[in-house]
Amino acid sequence: MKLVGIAGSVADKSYNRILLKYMATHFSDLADIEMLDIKDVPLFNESDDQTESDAIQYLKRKIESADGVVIATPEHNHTTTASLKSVIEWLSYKIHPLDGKPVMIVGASYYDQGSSRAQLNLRQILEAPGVNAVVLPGNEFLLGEVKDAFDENDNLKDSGTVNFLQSTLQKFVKFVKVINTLNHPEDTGAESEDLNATGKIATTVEGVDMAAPDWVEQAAEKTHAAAGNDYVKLDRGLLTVDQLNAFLNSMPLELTYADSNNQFIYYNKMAPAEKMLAARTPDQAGNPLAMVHPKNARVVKHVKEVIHALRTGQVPEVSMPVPGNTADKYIVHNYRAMHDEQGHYMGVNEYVQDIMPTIKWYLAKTGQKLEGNPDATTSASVNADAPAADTTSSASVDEAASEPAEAPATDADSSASIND
Amino acid sequence: MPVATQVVHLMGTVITLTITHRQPQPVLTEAVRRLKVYEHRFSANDETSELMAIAHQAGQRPVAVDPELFDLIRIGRDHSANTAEHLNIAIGPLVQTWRIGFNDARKPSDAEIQAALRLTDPAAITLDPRHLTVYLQRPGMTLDLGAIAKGYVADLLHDYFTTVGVTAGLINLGGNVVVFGPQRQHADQQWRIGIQDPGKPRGQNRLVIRVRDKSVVTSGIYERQLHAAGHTYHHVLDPVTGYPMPTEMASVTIISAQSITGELWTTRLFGQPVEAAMAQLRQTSGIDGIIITQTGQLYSTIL
Repeated sequence: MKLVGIAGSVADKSYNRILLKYMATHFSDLADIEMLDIKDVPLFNESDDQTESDAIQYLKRKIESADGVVIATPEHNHTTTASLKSVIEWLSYKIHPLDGKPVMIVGASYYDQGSSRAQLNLRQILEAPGVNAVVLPGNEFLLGEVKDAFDENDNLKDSGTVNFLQSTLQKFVKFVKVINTLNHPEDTGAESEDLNATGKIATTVEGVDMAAPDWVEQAAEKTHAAAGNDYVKLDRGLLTVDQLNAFLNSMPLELTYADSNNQFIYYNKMAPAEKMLAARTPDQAGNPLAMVHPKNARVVKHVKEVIHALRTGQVPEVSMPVPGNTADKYIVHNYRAMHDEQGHYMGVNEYVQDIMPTIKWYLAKTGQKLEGNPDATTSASVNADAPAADTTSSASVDEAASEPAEAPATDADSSASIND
Repeated sequence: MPVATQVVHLMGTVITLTITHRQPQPVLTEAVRRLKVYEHRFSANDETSELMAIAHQAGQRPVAVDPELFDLIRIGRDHSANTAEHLNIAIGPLVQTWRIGFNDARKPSDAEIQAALRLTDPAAITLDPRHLTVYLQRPGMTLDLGAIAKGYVADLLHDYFTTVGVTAGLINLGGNVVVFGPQRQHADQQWRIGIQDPGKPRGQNRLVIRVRDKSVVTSGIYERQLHAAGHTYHHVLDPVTGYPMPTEMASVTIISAQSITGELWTTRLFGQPVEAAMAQLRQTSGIDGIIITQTGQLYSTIL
């Protein structure tokens, strides 16, 4: 679970920041807490809208991508701080990253009140409709006499306090799961994708049957399309249609163009269908996407989800290995959203490729081999009289402190070059 | 929080336990003690085990057993009743006839196989839940829980670890893997579990998956084989024919919450056509699967 921690203070030394840091380091088995700084956020001012500034956009991105937020507030004159209030104003003025977000409040203070009034005040602010955060009820963690609460290593001294803090965080982790389940959108809108291409966009060729096997010829005639030696002006260059075809058909990928009306209107015919990784036949060009996919509810649903995610910009690209890949071939279908110069969605570029030759070439060139570096290996029953080397699980658990990308070999190389 | 690992050889395999706990050593010691108890309870290859005590009294009288053993036999029998599941815990006599995976493995004659098959009717297992007794109705019957025992034990260990406050851990019973809690050495807190490549020497993975709070169980025909008279026989026997199950699969891996679920599903899917097995995996919520065929093709519901 990923949480972000915000300390409501811009002071150089803040006990509330120390408290958050303590939570982040000591309870990392409960949640991964990333600390966010509010030092660079300007004072809220409607006449000088700073919503697009880096400091605020940074907070927005971090909060949106986190599962929940932990806020540690000091108490100034019976309320939370001006700086924290200002940050929340920015985060509820033009943008609303805290909307529906689970929030936990903690606080530390110099004297014995432990920021209790500030916490109540902050809770009130967070629950305002414009902010609309979902604050963990009860579970107040108030740390009074904070000057004496931490030792010289910034660790909480009192084990009772530590246990209570841990128990509140445990409850919050559960709370986050529940709230985020409630927030999870049931319908992504993918159902609205019309795979039968009954709509019409500016480029749709009307009056030609999409299902016709010679749709390309008919549509070309109707539109007086460029062909053969006719020139086409491209960004950036000038090619004849013949040159363009030669160029596209020599690509080491199978390319398919489906427009924003979900009509399949082009593929680079580099090989006969039986030789292609993803078979296409000339008569299919022009078909609505519904015609070129199996009539299987699960497949249709999945196609709609992918297209919708690309259309709405949720993802720039979706990549899927096909089932039945072997150790020597790894065929991947990639779907990438296409956009015009203004950023309007133009459809899907599907490119299909066997990436295994590339991987093997790279390994051969660099003298490396694939290393999975797992924590354990699942296999059919292993007999006990196996040599100890087979207990890869225990070896890698003890030693796998580094990810495979950590290359000690590189360090060795650099010291070798010093000797040169 | 300290992390500790213990490797032991029990239940005919290599067992690795890794846990994160305030005081891991006493917890691991207790886990190993329990494993020894389970081994003595569930083993079909130990004449003195509780399971064999049932076989010794086959056709004579019911035997009172430990609640855990009763529970496992009940689960096994309930799933054995349906032949489509390919599971039969009464398959003991047939396994003992082939002995594939042991030094004295041999190809039995047809007559022997037919004789053994007659003693493998799961309906002839009588369970009395009130007195926790098990009765095998015919002399010569024996139970074999090999297809499900490791999963059951892994779940019991997982329960024990959670009860005593282990925050994260790995249980590897010779290829049956359960991982829970965060793997702190990886930034994403997920555990890396290698899936053995059936065509390669042991320890070489076909792929590595990332999971957390899951059991990963693999069943395959590559670990135990018998080569006799120019034929290769693997150890997954078809409870209907008495011969090794014809299959295009080399291994089936199931990712599930409970390890016993994984065991039941690998048994159920093995020997089915790949497409049919994949369809069932996709339609069943709460489980994912990876199938590697004998020609090296990979099918998966998670990639």
